[in-house]
Amino acid sequence: MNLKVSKKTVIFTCLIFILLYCGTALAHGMLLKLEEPGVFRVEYDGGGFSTSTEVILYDQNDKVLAQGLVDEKGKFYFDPNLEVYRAVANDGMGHRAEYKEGVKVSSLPKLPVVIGVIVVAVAVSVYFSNKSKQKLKVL
Amino acid sequence: MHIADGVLTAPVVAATYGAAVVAMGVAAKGIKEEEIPKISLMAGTFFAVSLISIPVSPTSVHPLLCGLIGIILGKKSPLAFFPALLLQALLLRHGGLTALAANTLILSIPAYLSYLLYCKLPNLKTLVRGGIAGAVSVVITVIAVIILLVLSDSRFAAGDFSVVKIVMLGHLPILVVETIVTAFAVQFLEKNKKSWIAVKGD
Repeated sequence: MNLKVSKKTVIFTCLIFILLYCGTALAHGMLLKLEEPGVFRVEYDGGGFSTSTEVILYDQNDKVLAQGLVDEKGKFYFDPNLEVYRAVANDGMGHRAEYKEGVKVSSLPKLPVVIGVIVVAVAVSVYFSNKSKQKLKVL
Repeated sequence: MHIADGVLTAPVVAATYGAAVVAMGVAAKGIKEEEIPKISLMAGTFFAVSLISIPVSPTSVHPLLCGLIGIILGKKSPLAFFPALLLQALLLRHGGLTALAANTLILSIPAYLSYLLYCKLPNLKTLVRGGIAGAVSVVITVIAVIILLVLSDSRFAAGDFSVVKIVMLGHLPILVVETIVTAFAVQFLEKNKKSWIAVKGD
């Protein structure tokens, strides 16, 4: 595969990624954690939370046990004696997080994922760029 | 601005998937090999940039780049947004799979409208045209999100939990950032890489 690409393309590609990706990469998906019995904490993946986030607690029959907004620390306090099976947090902006008793949520480390996706995107770009250049040369 | 699973109702999910399939079909129709590098790079750029979290009380927002991507890709924008959003949902749980079509549309529609707007303002300076397109793209994205959320649950429009209030205020800084970034990026492209700007009809 011929990997010759114009200087301008390389500079532009690097510039776009460096300039636009200069901060810490943090998704702002939402997390709902049971901090301790009787306390749920809501947090965006990239830190912070919305005070407009509503938390609803359900039992095993999907009956609502308690609901309300988080406090100024992103916490939602409830009676620890409640048998909470499932909890849902919704910030009203399209972000939603769920907690299920006994279910551990695991996620991939972000930085390697982001770098991997960028590398693939650049590789696809370079491959097709060269392919179309070769086509033009043939013509 | 990535709607998660479980937020949208089934009819909204179905309608957005229908519309997204049409949008993807239109975008993919007549695609040329030489357009793939642009699409691929824009998908990678969007994937990375939209993961940058900007805390804006009482919420957290991220750059969208709809305006810039729209000006570069025109009607082919969904081909960049869809794979990027799919990978974000699968790999990072950022946005949901049931909301994938909705998320694709709330970015692709503003992107295409920004591109049209950019083409309709030929008499203005490139910097100004780019800035206007960038700003308008954020406004349209916010409106699209609000419409989808309110269609799913009217509670989103009421009281302190009003999504209208939070989304609009939360995206004011993004509006400023996107206006500046789009303006300068488009000016850079017009000067150094003009072929990257989508031509009329793209």
